[in-house]
Amino acid sequence: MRVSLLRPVEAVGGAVLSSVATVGRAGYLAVGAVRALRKGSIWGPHLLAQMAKIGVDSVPIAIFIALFTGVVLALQASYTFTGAVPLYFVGTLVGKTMVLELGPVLTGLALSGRVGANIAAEIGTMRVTEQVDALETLAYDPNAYLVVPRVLAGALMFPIVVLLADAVGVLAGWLTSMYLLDMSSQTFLKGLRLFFQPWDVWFSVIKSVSFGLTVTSVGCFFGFSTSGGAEGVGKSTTRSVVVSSMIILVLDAFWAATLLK
Amino acid sequence: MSKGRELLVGFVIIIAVAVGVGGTLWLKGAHWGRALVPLEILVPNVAELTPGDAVVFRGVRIGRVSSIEVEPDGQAVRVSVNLEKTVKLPEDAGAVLAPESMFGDWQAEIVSRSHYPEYDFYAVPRSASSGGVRVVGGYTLPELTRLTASAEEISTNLENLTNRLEMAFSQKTAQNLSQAIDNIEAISREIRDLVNQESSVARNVTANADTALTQIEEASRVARRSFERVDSVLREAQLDSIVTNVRLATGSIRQVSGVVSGSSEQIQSTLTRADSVFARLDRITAQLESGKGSLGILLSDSTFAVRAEGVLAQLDLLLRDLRENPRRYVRLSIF
Repeated sequence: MRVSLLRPVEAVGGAVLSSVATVGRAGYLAVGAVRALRKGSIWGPHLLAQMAKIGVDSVPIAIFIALFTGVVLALQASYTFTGAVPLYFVGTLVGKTMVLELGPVLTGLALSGRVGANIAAEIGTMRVTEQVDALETLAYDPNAYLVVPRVLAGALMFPIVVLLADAVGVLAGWLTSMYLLDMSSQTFLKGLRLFFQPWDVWFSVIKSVSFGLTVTSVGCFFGFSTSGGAEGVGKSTTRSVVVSSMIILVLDAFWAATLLK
Repeated sequence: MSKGRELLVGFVIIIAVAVGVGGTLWLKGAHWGRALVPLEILVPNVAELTPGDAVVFRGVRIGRVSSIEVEPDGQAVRVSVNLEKTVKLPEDAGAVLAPESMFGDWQAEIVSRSHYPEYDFYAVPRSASSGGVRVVGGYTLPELTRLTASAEEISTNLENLTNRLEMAFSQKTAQNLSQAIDNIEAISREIRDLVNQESSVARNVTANADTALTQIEEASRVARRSFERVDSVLREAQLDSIVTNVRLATGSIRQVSGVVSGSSEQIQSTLTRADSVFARLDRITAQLESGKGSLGILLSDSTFAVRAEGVLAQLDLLLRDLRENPRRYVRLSIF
């Protein structure tokens, strides 16, 4: 009887301790990664490869998503505005929505699945197969060798991918307006330029940098935290995608609240 | 890592940066390689105008606002704009800062001041320049928020006025007003009845007058005919013959009077005879009433009358028998 009453309390305590331990491990990893920045000779040679892997290889899926997002945005905007709001606001809505919100967020979510899961699985596998331990044995800093190039590549390439996605999304909306909505190019551009501010692009870049850091860091963290063989790798991969997606959405709200005042 | 892979990374980065930077500049309408002419506008305030907003001349976008600064003396705001070199502005150019649309974006429109005499442009000499840059005066149209504030002020004043009116317009006032309206309604009803009545009277008078006029017309017509006849008589000299005829008629009447006078004497003698006849009749009647003579006895004694009635009855029976049995009384024999 006494044991069953204390069980919920134990569960709460265990969860809190686990969360604190997780935060502590994440902090330890972050501090280690920052310290590892000095070891350019270790991460430098791997940076370009990670940029290609994280950024360039992600361009097709980002463009695919942005392409259809732009099409749908234009069609839905036209459906919404017809008869009430001038149609050139289709351009405004497509441009603003793609650059400020859907470009960075959809790309971030897509890349959290593709890149974050890849990193978590890769590093998790290395962890369970003790390759990480082997690196330490060889005096290689695992943070410098595994974490820094991936996180830097993510921070550098996410904005690149997002910029391309933004452009493709706007272009898709433009072409949709011209060929499916019977709008003139001038009409769409009028709306696109009406409320365009260069800051919108910077906002998109800032968000995508934070998303890149998040996705790669979370992937690395859950990769390093992997235990329990192949099953553990799978769990780490899933957790990495879920957590990074949640953080992306939280960051999205955070940046909107802080930078768009 | 292969060279091709490195090349691909570099290619993607360059394209993305070019797209981002180029797209931003393109959307903001940057003029690459085209010469721009600076122009400065002095206005009391710029409202919602911001750097990057459009500069329009005759409805065409010819430049953009590059910077906005408050003058050191704090009396005006200096708006620096860059215009396309090919555009020649009017001598009395001014700038009107106004909303470009209802959605918040503003623009500076270059206009000729003479076309807008109602606008109070910031006073700047026509040939004013600052460091070789032409300076023009500007006028800022009230922004929507100011109009809204003005509307709010007006509505507040209206509310105060309404409250005062409500205070002045008490229940008693309303009752008086209602009573006055009722009175007016009653008066108007009376006036309407009076008008209807007068209208009826006027109709009758008109009808009577019409009848009188008709009669007068008829009378005048008759009179005209009479006058015509009189005139005709006078004209045809028939009056003398009429007078002669009247004179003859008078003589005849005098003769008839003489005849009548003679006849009256005969009538007098006739009346005397009639008097004697009536006296005789009176005496006979008195004898009859007194029962004297045969006729008096017959009238005064009923026996005679009864007998006469019996005789008449027998006579009647006899006649009836004779009618029924004629052979009893009449016999025809030839031989």
